[in-house]
Amino acid sequence: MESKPLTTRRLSVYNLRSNPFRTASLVFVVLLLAFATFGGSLLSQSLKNGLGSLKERLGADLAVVPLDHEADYEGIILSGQPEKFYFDQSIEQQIEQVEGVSKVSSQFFISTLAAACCSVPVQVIGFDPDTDFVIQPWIAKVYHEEIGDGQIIAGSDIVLNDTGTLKFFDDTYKVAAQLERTSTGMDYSVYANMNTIKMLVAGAREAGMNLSVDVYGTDVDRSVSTVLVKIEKGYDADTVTTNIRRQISGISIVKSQNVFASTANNMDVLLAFINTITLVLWLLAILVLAVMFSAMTNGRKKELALLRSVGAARGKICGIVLTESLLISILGGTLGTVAASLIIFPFSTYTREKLGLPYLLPNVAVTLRLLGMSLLLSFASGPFAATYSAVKGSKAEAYISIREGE
Amino acid sequence: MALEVRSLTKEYIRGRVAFQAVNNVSFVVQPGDFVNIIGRSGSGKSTLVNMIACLLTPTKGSIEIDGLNIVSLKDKEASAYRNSKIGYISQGQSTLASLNVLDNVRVPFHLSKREGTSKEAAFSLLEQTGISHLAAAFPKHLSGGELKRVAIARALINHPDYVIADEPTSDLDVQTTAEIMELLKNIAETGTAVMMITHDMEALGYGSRTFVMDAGILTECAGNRVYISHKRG
Repeated sequence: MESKPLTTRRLSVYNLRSNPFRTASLVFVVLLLAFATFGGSLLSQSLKNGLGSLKERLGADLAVVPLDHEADYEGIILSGQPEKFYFDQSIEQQIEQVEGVSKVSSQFFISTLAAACCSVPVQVIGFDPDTDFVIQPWIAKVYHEEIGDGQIIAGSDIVLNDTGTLKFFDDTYKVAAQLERTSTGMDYSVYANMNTIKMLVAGAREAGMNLSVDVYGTDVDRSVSTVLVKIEKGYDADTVTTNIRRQISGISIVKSQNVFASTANNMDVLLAFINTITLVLWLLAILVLAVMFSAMTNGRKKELALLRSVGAARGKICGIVLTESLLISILGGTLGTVAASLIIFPFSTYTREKLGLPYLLPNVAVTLRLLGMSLLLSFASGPFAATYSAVKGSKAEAYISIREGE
Repeated sequence: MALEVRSLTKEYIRGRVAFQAVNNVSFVVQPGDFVNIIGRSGSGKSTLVNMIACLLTPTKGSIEIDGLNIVSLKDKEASAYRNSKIGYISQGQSTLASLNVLDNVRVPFHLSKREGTSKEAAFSLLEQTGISHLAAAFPKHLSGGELKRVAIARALINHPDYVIADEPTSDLDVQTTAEIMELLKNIAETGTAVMMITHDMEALGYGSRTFVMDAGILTECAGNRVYISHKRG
């Protein structure tokens, strides 16, 4: 037979064990609280990270695209939706001359196909290494050499084969590097220099695929999809936009700050919703716990009074009730954060797709910090909610409580 | 070690009127005394013994053990006093449902810092009270008499100087009452003073002194046997 000392913790454990339904109910409430706290904070942080990543990746102040293709461009940036649209390359030189423009660089978009000829249907973004100021600084974080002809850089969500190559239009391309996750459409895109783009187009034509590059004839050398603009210091986006529009017709202009602001606005609404739900759930859980602990302590009046009658001080009674609440909180808090982790981490891609917003899970250090804070809040919730009951239970007149229990 | 109660009073406010549940009570209990306290319901008997057990604070008066007035003790000291000096057997069922019989008996031992273990002592007390075979059982499976034996064993675990028993035989049959009273008498014979509240006239015969409580006033009967004869008469 067991002969371990009957410590406060052991007395609490025995009491929790002897009331499995009551204990399970309390654990479940803390579980919900921890789930809401960790899940909510993780979701919230992921959205903030996504927004930060989007801001970092937009790079250019303006993107000039063919008329009425603003939404298509935003689709490429935000969700990686494959699109293709072209205008004459000479527009790049015209924009460069506009007052307030500091730098320009063009990009060429083509889409690969969901067919046997291609490993994956993706957006391929061709850029000019000599003028590019958007993609190369980002690529430089993972690949320090110049991207050669026939080489490609893959976004983080592109699934590579074992040989580190991708097949497009029956030709194989070596993947020089894979980028870090950004939570934007760029994760589903592939990057290459213009010579590689020409090889891709030639391959497509040989394979008899229609790439729709016929807007300005069939010469890929004369077509671009977008011209990215860096504004000169002292000018603002609106002024430069007006300047470009005055000189060039048949174009649309996407302001990066508008893409960012619109996404940020959508995100603000969602963040407010997540934060409100988390707070309401937290307050409700604390309230429910307080009521349950109060009812529980009330129901145990005689038991606590008996302990008093055999020599338990008020502090000991408080300690027993608070230890029980802490044990419940530790169990519920741990289960809640595990449950949140099991849902948030494996389903992050699905969540990102459903949200339609930049969504980037935090790194390990931030995740651990959020986990620590959530656990701390959950662990504190029980004792916090039980404090009033514990003090009340310890102050009850033992003699009266024993008689009331009869 | 004598226990001296002097001018002990407990006043309550009922409605807006003050009344004295215990009124200026004084008496002395010597080691080995077996004191019966009888009286009508509401006469103040339980209030008196609960003040002695430091579970109630008197309005005035003193309770002294070896010159120490326990009335002035703070909660922590009072609890330690109750834990080490008093064995308390409360009315009715007084076990902890979440603990088995052996652990119920061990509880008081672990409420203060003590050397050694409690298992052997607790088991020995269960043997003395005749329920060692129930050591692993839980209270819900025990009869009223068995539960009372658990309470008695628990009251003795810390070798108290005083055992306070509040109606220990109130819900027991005649045979079990006799067995419980024998146990309490044996305790008194070892030098531990026993103070027992009872309404059971059969139980009075086991005591060495009898007090009558009436409207908060305590009076000792001149002779225990005289009182019993008078009541029976």
